[in-house]
Amino acid sequence: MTPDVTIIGIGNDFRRDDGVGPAVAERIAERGLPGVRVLTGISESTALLDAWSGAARVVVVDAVAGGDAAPGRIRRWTAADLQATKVVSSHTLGLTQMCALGQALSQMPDELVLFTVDVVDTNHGLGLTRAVAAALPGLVELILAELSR
Amino acid sequence: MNPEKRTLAVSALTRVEGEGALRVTLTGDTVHSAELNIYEPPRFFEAFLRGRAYTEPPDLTARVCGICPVAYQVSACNAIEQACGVTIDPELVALRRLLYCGEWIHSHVLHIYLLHAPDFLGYPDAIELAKDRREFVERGLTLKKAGNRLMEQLGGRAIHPINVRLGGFYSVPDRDQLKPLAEMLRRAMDDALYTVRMVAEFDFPDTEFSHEFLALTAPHRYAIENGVISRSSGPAFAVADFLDHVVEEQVPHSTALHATLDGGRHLTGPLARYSLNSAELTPIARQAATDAGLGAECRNPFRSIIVRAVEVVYAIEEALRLIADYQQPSRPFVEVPARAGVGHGVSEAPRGLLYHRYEIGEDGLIKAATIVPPTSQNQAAIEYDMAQLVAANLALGDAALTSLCERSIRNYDPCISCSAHFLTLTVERH
Repeated sequence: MTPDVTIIGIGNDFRRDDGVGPAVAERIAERGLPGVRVLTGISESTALLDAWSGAARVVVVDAVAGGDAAPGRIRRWTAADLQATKVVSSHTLGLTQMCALGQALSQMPDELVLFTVDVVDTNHGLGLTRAVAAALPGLVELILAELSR
Repeated sequence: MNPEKRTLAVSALTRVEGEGALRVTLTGDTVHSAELNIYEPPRFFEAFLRGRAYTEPPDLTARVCGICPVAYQVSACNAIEQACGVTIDPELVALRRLLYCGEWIHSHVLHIYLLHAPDFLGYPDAIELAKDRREFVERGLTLKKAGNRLMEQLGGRAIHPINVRLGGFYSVPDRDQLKPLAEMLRRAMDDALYTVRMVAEFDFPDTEFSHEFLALTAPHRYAIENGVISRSSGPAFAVADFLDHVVEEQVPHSTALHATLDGGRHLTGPLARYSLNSAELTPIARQAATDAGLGAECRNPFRSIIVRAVEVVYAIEEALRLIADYQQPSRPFVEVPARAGVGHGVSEAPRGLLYHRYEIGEDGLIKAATIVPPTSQNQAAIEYDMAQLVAANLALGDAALTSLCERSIRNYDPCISCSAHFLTLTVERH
């Protein structure tokens, strides 16, 4: 286990599937892993820059909505992918924009990995839809594997 | 559908927080309508709060908005404390005001540097601006961080502060804990004054609007965490009568409610607040406003960026005063025992007057909740201004017109919704 890893779950759990990021982050937090810092409740984009700045490794988990979304599909991205690919976050943060801004201002972590989950319902309400909830355990395992890399 | 309809999808409008769309319909030289379609979270929260304990709205409504959680917490506390007949200690009110100053700094600086300044400096967004003028954006982010630090110290954390509760705080700092904040704020003042000077040099279209202003005022200070309702022309009214004067109604094109003030358009937010409170500015903020060319009132929406910058100076100056005068409260909170009844609460969110109303039952549960955010109050005025703007600039091509509409919408800093998607602008020419 490499110390100094920050896990950031982005999303709003009052917006149904948009809460998948915080839900995953909380499951990781429950494990109480040494050297792992878990952040949720970031709902304002520049807070990401503060969390990234000076960090060694950052893993971000976010919901993705869009035309070709396959509910529950998990994808892994790196900072380089984010530049090349328009990832449409269901969240207001504009993660790709923050990534570009972080690069312009040299406020990126040494290594940034993003896991996204395709979501189906981001209306106001509580609880994940079945397909997204079903993706949760697998995603937790993927992140744990990422941490032990 | 008219074959000449052109749809302009405007990704830059994503810089307005939230989701929504602007649809402008015109035939020849006549603008039929300008409809801002917004999707608003308070409606969800009003239903969500029913049946919850009377202690819960400050925490839960703080999550309506990632930019202004303190505003939601404070308006909710004001309303419920009023319903329960509790007045909190002056030292705790001062601490609330100090926390709120942090939110003003954070929210205004975010808007000035990352959303609004690129429009005036000719950049499509803050990223391109940062590539060219890195030091300028860094200076803004440093200034914003002063607000975040203030919120972290008092609120427990910068986003969705967890240290706020009915009657006050879970824990309060001692004087020594505030000293580093004062040092940081003194440094931030230089950046804040620099910001006023910078934005005052921008080019501003020569335009003014006539909407009525609605904002809180307070004796001998600029209203923030509470106040009495004031307006630019009509008679003032009590907070408890807010819903008799500011009436919300459903309109077909939006899930949000449109509000009018005694049947007319009104505007709340920095321009209204400044115009009704400018006499109460602190010395440095007043000097900055004068040097930036602001008079006693400001009716040019584009110059709202100067007003925000002046309000940042004010918030820093006021925060420094509050820290200098700070005495650790004898108790972190006043007990607020449940009492059946109705309470009304207001405060000045960065974007304008935020009203909350709660009805508490005999069982201490919320029977009804009403939240009137600034953006729904401003919506009619925004739409009117957009229609005027389009009518006056019909000669422009779609791209230029779209760009002008985007800029103009950002003048109002609408908090369209948190945690949301994309805005599109559609111009229908028939």
